[in-house]
Amino acid sequence: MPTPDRAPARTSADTPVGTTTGTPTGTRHPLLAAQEGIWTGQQLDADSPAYNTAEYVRIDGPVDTAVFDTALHHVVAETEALNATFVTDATGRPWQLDTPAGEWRTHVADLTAGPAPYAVALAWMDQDLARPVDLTRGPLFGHALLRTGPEQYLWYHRVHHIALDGFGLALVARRVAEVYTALATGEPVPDSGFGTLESVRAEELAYRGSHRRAKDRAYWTGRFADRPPADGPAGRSALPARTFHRRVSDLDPATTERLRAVAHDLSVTWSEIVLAVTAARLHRITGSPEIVLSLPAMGRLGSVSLRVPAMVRNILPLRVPVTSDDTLRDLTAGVSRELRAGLPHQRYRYEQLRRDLKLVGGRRRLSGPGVNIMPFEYGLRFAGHHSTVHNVSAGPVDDLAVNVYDRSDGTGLRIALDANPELYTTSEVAALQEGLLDLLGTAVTTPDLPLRKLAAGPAPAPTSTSTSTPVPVLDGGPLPGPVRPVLSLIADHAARRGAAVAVEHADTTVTYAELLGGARDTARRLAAHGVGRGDVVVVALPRGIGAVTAVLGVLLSGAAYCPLDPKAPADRTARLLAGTTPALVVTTGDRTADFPDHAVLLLDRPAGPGGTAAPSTPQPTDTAYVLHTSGSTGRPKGVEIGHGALAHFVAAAGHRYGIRRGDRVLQFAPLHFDTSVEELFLTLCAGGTLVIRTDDMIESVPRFLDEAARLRVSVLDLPTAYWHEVAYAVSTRTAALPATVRTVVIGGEAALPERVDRWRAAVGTSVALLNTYGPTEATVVATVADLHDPALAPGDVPIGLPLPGTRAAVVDGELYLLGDTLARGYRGDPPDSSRFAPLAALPGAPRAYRTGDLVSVGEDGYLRFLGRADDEFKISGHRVQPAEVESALLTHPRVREAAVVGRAHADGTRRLVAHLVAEPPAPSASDVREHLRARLPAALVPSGIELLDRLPRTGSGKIDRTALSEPPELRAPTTGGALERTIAGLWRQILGTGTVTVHDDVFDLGAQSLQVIQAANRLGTELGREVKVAWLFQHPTAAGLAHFLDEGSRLPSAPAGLPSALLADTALEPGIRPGTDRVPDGSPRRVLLTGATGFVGAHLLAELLAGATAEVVCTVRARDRAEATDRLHQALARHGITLGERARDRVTALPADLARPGFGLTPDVLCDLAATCDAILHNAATVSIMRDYATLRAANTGSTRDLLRLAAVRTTPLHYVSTLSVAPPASRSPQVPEEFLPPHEGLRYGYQQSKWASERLLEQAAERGLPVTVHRLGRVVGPSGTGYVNERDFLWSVLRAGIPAGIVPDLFEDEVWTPVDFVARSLVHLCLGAGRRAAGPVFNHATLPRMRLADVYDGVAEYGYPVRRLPPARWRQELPRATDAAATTLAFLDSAEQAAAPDLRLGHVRADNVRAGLEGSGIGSPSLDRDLLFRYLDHCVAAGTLPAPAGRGRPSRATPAH
Amino acid sequence: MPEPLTQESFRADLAEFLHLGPDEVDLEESPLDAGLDSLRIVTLLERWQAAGVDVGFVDLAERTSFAQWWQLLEERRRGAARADT
Repeated sequence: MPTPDRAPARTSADTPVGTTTGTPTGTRHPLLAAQEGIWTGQQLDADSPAYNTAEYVRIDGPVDTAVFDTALHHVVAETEALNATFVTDATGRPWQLDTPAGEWRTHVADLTAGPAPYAVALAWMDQDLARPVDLTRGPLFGHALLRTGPEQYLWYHRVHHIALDGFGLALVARRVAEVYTALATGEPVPDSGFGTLESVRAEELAYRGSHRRAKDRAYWTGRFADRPPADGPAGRSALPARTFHRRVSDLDPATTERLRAVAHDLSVTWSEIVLAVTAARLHRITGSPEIVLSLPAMGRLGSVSLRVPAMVRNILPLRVPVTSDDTLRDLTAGVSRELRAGLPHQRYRYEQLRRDLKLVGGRRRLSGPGVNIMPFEYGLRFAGHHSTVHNVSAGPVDDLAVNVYDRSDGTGLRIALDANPELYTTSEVAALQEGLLDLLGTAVTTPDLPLRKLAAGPAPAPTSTSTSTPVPVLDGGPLPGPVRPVLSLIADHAARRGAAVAVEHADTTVTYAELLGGARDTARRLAAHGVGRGDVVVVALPRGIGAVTAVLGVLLSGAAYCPLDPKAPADRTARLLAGTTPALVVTTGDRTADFPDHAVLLLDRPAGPGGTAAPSTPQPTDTAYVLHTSGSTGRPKGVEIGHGALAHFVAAAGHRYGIRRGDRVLQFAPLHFDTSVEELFLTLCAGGTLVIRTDDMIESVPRFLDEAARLRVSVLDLPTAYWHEVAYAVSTRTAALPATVRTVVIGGEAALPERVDRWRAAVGTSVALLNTYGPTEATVVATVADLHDPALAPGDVPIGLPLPGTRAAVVDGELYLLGDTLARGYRGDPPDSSRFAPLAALPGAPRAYRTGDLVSVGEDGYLRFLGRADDEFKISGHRVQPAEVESALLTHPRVREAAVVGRAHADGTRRLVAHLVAEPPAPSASDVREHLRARLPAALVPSGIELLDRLPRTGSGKIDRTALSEPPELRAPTTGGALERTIAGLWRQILGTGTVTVHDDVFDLGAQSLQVIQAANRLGTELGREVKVAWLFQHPTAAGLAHFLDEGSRLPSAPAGLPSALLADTALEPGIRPGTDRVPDGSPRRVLLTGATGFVGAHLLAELLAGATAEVVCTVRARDRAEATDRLHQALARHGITLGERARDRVTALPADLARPGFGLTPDVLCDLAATCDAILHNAATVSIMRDYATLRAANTGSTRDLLRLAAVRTTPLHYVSTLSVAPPASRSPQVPEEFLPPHEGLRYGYQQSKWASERLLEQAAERGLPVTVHRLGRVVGPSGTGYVNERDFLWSVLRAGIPAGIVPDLFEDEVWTPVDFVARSLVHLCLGAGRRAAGPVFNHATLPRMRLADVYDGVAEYGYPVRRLPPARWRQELPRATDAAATTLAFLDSAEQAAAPDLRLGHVRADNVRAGLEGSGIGSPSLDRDLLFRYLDHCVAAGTLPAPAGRGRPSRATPAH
Repeated sequence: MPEPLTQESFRADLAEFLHLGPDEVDLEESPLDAGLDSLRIVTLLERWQAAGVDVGFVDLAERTSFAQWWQLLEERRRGAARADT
C-alpha cells in the first residue's frame, strides 16, 4: 500500500517558501513546507476528517461562559494561522489566503442536567471531530465549552493540522488561559507576544539556501542511503484512514518513578527508554533486526516559531538495531547516540528526504511506527482554577503511533496507542499496548537483562514444546448416525431409486440399478476366477464408468481393490505389483503386456461362460482397498484401508461436507489418488451423481469451469494446487465459478493464504470452501476447516478439526491421528510401520498414526498446518519451512506463484532459492527481497530469486520441487496499451523528461506530490472520469495504473440500444431529498404496501399481519373502497391465504392506480399517507415479458418516483421489490453484486428495463440519504409448505403445455428459485424486523442453491411423466397448439426468437447481505428438493392443470410438509 | 532545598545531558547543534526552576548558545534573589 511523500502523520521547514508575493490582492502566501505535507495528505482523501487535531482542557472550578467566549474570540482574532483558507492556482499549487474567521460561535452546553455528562461530552467531541473541514472555506477550527459538573468545564479545541501543530495548539491554549484570566479578574489583557507567520516563512526561506541545510541533507541521505525496511507489525503499509483506533493506558506512578530513576541512572531521559522499549517490542513481533521509528520533532529550537502558533513540526526517522541479546542499557545507549546525532539536523524536511531517497509512493517507507513524546505540562490556570489537558486526536495515523503524555498532575505517564484501522484490529491494538506496557515494566526493573530473558506478552510460538506439557487432544465430536457399510448404502439407492443417475462420463450415463448390476456381473466374474475375501485385485483402468463399476465389483466379490496408474512407467508398476501380490489384475486388452506374470481379467472382452461361485460378502475387518504412497524412504508403501474405516469415513465426511442426494460431484482425481475414494464413495453412498471429468476438461481453468457449469456440478473436490489456479482465475475474473457449485473441497497440500483471501474476496462466503487435511493412512481426510467462515481473519488458513468420530493429538508440535478411520497398516511390513503405534502420552495409549506433519493449535481450537517435519531444513541455524517463505512471497502484489527450495551446494552450504511466476511488469529481485525483509527474519530471505513462466508440476498437480533446478527463463515484458501510453505521455509532460516508459515508477523518476495531484487532475480531464490522487500513489507505473483503471474501477458507459425514455426516466428530481422530520427507528405502526393482490404481495401482506402489530394500507386498483376491499380478499383467497378477524381489521384497502401521477389520489390522501405511514413496501409492478418499456414505465417506474417523493417528506424508509433479471447475464458479468447496477446491454426487455430504472432512482435516493432498500428476487415459486403453484408463472406454463405433449424445452441451464413464503418472511424481517439494520441497500435474495432445469425435468420424469428434452426451437415446432398454455408460451418464445434468444443465465449471485441479515432470525432455508417439486406437481394434478401421470405411484409420492 | 545555581553546577548539568566532561562543554555551542531535544531542555529547566530561577521553556529554547542561557539564568537568579530580600 502506498505512502505519499507527505510527512507521515503524527510524527512534528523548507521548500518553496517566501515572503508574501506581490499578487494583486497581496494576501496570498506560499505554504510552509510542513503545511504542504499536510495539504498533500488531505488531497488524497479530500473528505477525510483525519487531519482534525483536538484536545480538551478540563477546568476544575466555575467558569464564566460569556467571558470565556469573549476570550476565545479574542485569541482567535489575534492568531494568524486560524484566519486563513487555502486555494489552488491554475497549476495546482496551493496558497494560503488571509481570510478572517468571520462569524463563528462557541458551542456552549450545560450537560449536567442529563445523565453521564462527561461521557456525553466526549461523544459530542467524537462527533465534532468526524466532520471534515473544507480548506477552501474554513473555518479551520472549532471551540466548545461543555459543563460536565457543578464546578467542572471541558473546553474543547479542534484545529486542522494545516494551521497548527501540537506546540502551536499549546501556545493558543496558554494564551486563552491568559486572556480569560485577565478578563475574568478585570485586569488589562497583556500582549500575546505572538510573532508573525511572515517571520517563520522568512526563516524557512533563509534556511533553504543555507550551508546548514546542505549539511543536514548530507547527514540524512548518508544515514539512510541503504533504505532500511520500515514496516510495522502489520507487515504492510496503508494510507491513513479517516479514523484511528486508540487505546489509552496510564503508567502507574511506581513504574513511572522507576522509569525516571532508571533514566537518571543511565544518563538519558525517560523518552529514550520509551523509544528503546518500543523498538524492542516491535523487534519481538516482527523479528526485524532493525526498527526504524518515526519521531515527531518540534523543529523550533532557536527559531522564531517558538512564539508563533503555526504548523512547522517535522519528523525524524530513527534507526534502532535490536538483537535479543541486547539489554535495556545497550538499547538505550544506542537510541541516545542516534538521537544526538540526528537532532542537530532536525530542520531538514522529512518529505524532502523521502524524495531524495526515492522513497515516495507505492509501498516505500522511510520510517515505521511513530513515537510521540509530549513533555509539556501545561499547568494552565483559568482565573486561578486548576486544569488538565487531554488529547483527543493527534491527526491521522499511518501505521502505529505511541503517544506519551506527561500528565500534568505529576502522577505518571499516559500512553495512547493509536493505530490505523486498515492495518490493525482493536484487539491487536490492545495486545500491542499490553505487550508494550509489560515490557516497559520489566525492562525498567531489570535494565541489565538481555531482552530474550524478559517476559513480555506472547512471544513467538516456540518451535517445539517440552514433553512435559500436556498433549492437546482435538475431538471431532460424535458421528451423526450409525456407520453403514458402503456397499449396503449403494445397494439401497439401487433398490429404491434405481432409475436415478449414478455416474456420468462424457455422453454416457448409468443409473444406480445399472451400476449395481454391472458391478455384480464383475463380482461374479471375479468369483469365477476364485477371487474372494482376503484377496487384492489390481484395477488398472482409465477413469470412467467402467473403472467405477470394476471398483464396486471387486468390493462385491469380497476382495480389496488396488488402483494402479494406467499411465505409470512399467518399472514402477512392476515394483508396486511385487509388493502387492494381487490375486488378479483387472484391465483392458491393450494393457495385457504390462502384467506378464499375473492373472488378468480383461473387462473389454466378453465374459466367458459364467461360473457358479457366489461372491462372498466383505466384513468390516476386511481390507477394502490398497493405495500406494511414497514413503520417506522413497519406497512406495501400500496402505490397507478396511471396510470399517471406509464406512466410518463415508459417514463422517458425508455429513461434514453435506453431500446429499441431488448433488452432482465432479470426479477429478485419478483412481490411484485417495481423493478418488472420497469422490466416489461419498457421492454414491449419498445417492448423488458422480460426474467424471474428461481429460481435456483441465486444459485451462476457464475451460474447466465452463465445463463444470455445463455439467451442473454442485460439489468440486480439487487438489489444492489446482484450486490455487482456479482461485486466481476467479479472482481476476478470467473465469467464473459455476453458479451450480455450492461446495468446494480442497486438499493435498497447504492452501496459500493469499489465494484463500483472493477467493473469499471474489466468491464471498456463500460457497462452502472446505480445507481438508489427511494422510492416506487415515482414510483420505482427517481434519476439515470451513474457509468460508466469515469469522476467519484474512490470511488465516486453518485445517480445522478432526472429522466427527475421530480425534487428533499434538505431541511436540507433531500431529497424531486416532480413531476408526486409521488404516489397518502397510501391506507387507515396510520400515515405516512404526508410524502406527500406541500413543503412550494419552490415557489408555490408544492406537495412533504419527503423521510427520507439524501443526499448531490456535486459541480458537483449530489446527493449523506448519509444514512437514522432514521438509524443514536449516540455513545458518534457522529452521526454514519453504511454505512460510512462499506465503510471504505471495503477499507481494505482483507475485502470482512461488516455490522455494533449499539448494545444497558442493561445499555443503545451503542456499535458499525462490522461483516466482510474476505479473507483468515483473518485480525486480531487489524489490522482492525488500518486500521479504520486512516480513521474514533475514535468514529466510532467499539469496536466489528466479523468475519462471510457470512452475513445474508433477502429474498430480503438486509443485515439482526437484525439477526446480532447471535454468530459469525470464518473462518477456508486456507492450503498452493505449491507456498506458496516455498515462506515460502525461508523466513525460509533467516531469519534463522524454524517457518515461509504461513500466517506470514515476517516483523513481522524482515525481513529487504536487505533480501527482496535477497528473490526477489532468488524467481525470483527459479520460472524462474521476481519477483519485491516491490511485496514482498506489499504482506508480503507467502500466499498473492503466491496469487498475481498466480492471479496478471500470466506469459504465451508457450502452447502445436502451430506449431514450429509459435514460431520461432515471434522473431523480433534485427536490426529492430527506425531509427534516425523521421517523424514529422503531417498529413501524402503519405500513404502505403496494401490489398486495399479486402473488408475492399477498404473501407479504400475510407475513406483515402475522408478525408485527402494524396497520397495513394496501393500494388496490379499484373504483372505490368497497371494490378495493373486495378485490384484495379475492386475491388472498386465490393464493390460499386466509386472514383472521383481527388481521382483517388491520388492513385498509385504498383504491389507487399506480400508473397515474400521484396514484390518482387526492393531495389530502397523499399528505395523510406521508404523515402516517412509517414504512413503505413497494412491490407492485406490471409483470409482462412481452410488453415494451414505453407501456410499462408509468406503472413500474413512475410509481417508484412518486413513492420516493412521498417517502422523502418524513424520510420514511422505502423498500423496493425488484428482480434479479435487472442484472447482466453471466456472459457479461461473472457475478451479480449486491450493489446498484450501471446500465448494460443485457437490459433487453421492457420489464427488466422498468425495474432497472426504478433501482436507478432508488440509487440516487440512497446517495441523498433517503433510507431505501432494494430486494431482488429470482423465480418466486409456491410456498414450500403447501406446494401451491403460481399459475401465471412462465415456467409452469411451459410445463403445463409441454408435459401432456411429452416434450419439454431446454430453455436455460439454471436459475434462482425462492419459495414465496420464505421470501416474504425474509423481506419483512429485513425491511421491518430485526434485520432492518443489515447492511444494504441492495439485497439479492439468492441464498438457496440454484435450481437446474435439468433437475426439474429429471424430477418430472421420475414423477411419472415421460418427457423428451428439445432445443426451444424444435419444441416450439413440435408442440401442439391446441391448449391455452401452449398459446401463451409460444407467443413468448416467438418474441424471444426475434430477440435472437440471448442467454439470460446469470453469473454467481452474491447474497451476502441477505445471508448476514437473516443470521439469527430463525428463518430457515427451505430445501428445493425433489419432494418439493413433487408437491408442486401434486398441486397441478389436484388443480387439474396437469393430467395424472400414467405411471405407478402418483400423485402422493411426496410427503406433504407443514 | 536544592543547591543554588552556580556556573559550575550549570556546566555540570549541561555536561551530564550532553554526555561530556564539564570541561568539554563549549558554551558558545548552540543547544540545537549539541543535540538537545525539548524533553532534555524541559528536564534542565525543571532542575533550574527548583534551584529558584524563574525561567520558561521558550526563554531557553529560543536562545542560540549556552552562553546566552547562562546570561539569562544569571539575570533571573539575581532578580529572584533581589525579590527575596
